[in-house]
Amino acid sequence: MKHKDVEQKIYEEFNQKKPEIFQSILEQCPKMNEAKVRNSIWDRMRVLFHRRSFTYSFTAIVVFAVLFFAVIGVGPNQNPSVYSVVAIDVNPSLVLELDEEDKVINVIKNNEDANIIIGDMDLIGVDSDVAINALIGSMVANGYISNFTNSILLSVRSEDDLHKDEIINKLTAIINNILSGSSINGSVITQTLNVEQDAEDLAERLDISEAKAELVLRIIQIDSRMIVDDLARLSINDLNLLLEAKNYVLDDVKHTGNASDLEIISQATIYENIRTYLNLEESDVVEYDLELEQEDGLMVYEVEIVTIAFEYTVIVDAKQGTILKTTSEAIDDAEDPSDDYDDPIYDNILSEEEILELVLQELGLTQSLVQDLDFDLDEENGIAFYDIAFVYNGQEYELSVNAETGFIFSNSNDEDGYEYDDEEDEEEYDNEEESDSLGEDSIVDEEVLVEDTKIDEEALVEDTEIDEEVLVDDTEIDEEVLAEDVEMDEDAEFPENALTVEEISILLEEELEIDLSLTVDLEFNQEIESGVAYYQVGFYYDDQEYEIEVNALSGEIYINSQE
Amino acid sequence: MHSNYNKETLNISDKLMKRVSNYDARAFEQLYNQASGAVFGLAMSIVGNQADAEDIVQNTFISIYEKISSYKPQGKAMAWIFTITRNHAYMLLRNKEKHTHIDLDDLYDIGTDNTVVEDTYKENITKLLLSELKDDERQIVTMHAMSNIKHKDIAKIMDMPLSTVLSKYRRSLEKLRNVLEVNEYET
Repeated sequence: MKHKDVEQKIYEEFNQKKPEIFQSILEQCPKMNEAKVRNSIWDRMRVLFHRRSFTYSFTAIVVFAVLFFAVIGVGPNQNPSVYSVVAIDVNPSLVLELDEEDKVINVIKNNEDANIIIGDMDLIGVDSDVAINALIGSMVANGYISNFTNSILLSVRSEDDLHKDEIINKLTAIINNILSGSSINGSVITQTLNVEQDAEDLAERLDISEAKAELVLRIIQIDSRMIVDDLARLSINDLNLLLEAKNYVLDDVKHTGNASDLEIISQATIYENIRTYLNLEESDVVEYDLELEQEDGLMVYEVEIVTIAFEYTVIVDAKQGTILKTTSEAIDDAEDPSDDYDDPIYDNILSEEEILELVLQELGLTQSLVQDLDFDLDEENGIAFYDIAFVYNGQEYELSVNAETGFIFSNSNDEDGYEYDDEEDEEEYDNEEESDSLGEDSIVDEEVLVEDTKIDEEALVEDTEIDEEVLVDDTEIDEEVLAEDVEMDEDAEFPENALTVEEISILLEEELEIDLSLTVDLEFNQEIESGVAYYQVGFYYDDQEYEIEVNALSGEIYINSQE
Repeated sequence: MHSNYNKETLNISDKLMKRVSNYDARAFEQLYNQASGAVFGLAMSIVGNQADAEDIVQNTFISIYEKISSYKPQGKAMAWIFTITRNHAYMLLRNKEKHTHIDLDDLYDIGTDNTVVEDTYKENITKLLLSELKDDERQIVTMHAMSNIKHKDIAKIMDMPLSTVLSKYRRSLEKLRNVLEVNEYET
């Protein structure tokens, strides 16, 4: 019998014996009953969704119609019904329910930040554009939107699809105007808001808004290598950066402007820092490549540096500059195709020739015009994929392709992709503005950009200095660790009041939601560094290698790597 | 055995709490369905009898309704609810103590049926909790078993060092496991 079995017995018994007294509690909570007339559109749509199965019979249609009108309250003397829904996510997350004339009839605050934004504002009965003006203004005033976090997710649903598009265009233009008036280069991601059960379930499970859940699910639909929970942890601005970096083709998702990368360290700085970290001279480097990715809910750079002898892959936190993982492989080994591909993940992959044929067919390109073709086989979250790079008619293509199916996850050159929508959409939205104000806006924007550039350069110089220090520190630590658990603190004794291995195991199982008894090669090492006692824990679980450090006194967990 | 016991499903989301704060009766009912077992379990582990534990469940949910606007969404709804439950439980015990002097470990009226036969006693984990564990051990084990709350949050609720909570938790589960295994062997 395991601890979990004992806990399950406790859980089952208390739930079996608990009192069923909800109705008597409810009777003592008078405000709860008032709320029933103001259920959100999510609840109404959920009810409708569940009724849908009845629509195949005439009787059911009648029942459906009666329920529909009863639930959403359509009728001359009823409360106004929800015609459109506008969800706004920055970090504050809120939903406006609108009537047929786009007046606000309900405001749903999804988080504490939304409370701060709304404050004492009473938006009921106000036009949606006035409400958006006030809300975005408040977000700017409260620092939620700035040149560092400039992305806004605007999700809209309406009974009338054409009207939905009108709302998107109108509100996007309003948001962009407010932001440019505050010298902020904003970026608005727009999407159609569907009320789907899986998005609702995800929102409920991860405690995010339905709108963000829908965007996350759209990304997963395109790129199955991504993990829902990781994407959900990203901010709206980080998601925007990721979408731009990947150039995904997402249904019903567009954007204006560009996500702010001011929190992200520049590629040039990262490259220089990594080169220093690896003790490589510029002349040692045969080629290198940097890609902005997400990993475990963090924005990271995956840096590949190739020298004559080695191929290095370094994962770096794109905001902090901290090195998260370093691997190196001798070039001879790297060229041996049998070396790394024993994993069953690679059992059913297509050959490079087969993949190329599929990809070129999909893109309508001719094989004879392909130049500088390069394949790289890799896996992520259990899915094998090829990174394919080539030049075609002078244009560079970088593709990520499912190695089993040939499905193109991302294509840097796809003109239907997220990044490529940008200019076209901006024109479309700008055309709705008056030409005079456009002229003024352009001048203002240019000035702002010049200022921004100056700030950026200064910030980057600072970043570089800080990062180099951080990296140098890391290098020293790594080297020392590699030098077999070090001279540092070697005489220090592990504290008596430290958590035991069993207690650390409980914390790890809880934090990682895994059963340590199912791990392979589980190792605990006691370490003391700079006076801090910690456990270094390593194991394999579900085909992944974990390296974790746990503070031996506080139980704080640091995940070094999860491969 | 534990196919349907999943810690993730025990999570009370801030989204649900937000809906409760908007006085959504269905959300309140959902919260009751999800959390009342945990509230009842913790109450039982403190006061030790069904009738008082039921009162505490009622008072806790009315307090949730009254104080929901003060809940700060930090993903720790269950910790907040457990704190309210403990307050009500200790308030009830204090009121009882005013009227009569009671040794808390003698207080427990284990079940409502006085004719419990020994075999039933062995199978009843509530009784095992009450007979084998001390007050703080019962609370730690119950809070952890009934929700997805983490040990560091239990340590905050109980105002104890994390290491103490972890060692009490581990020792308590060992005790319960040993007794349960012996009982299983005997039957």
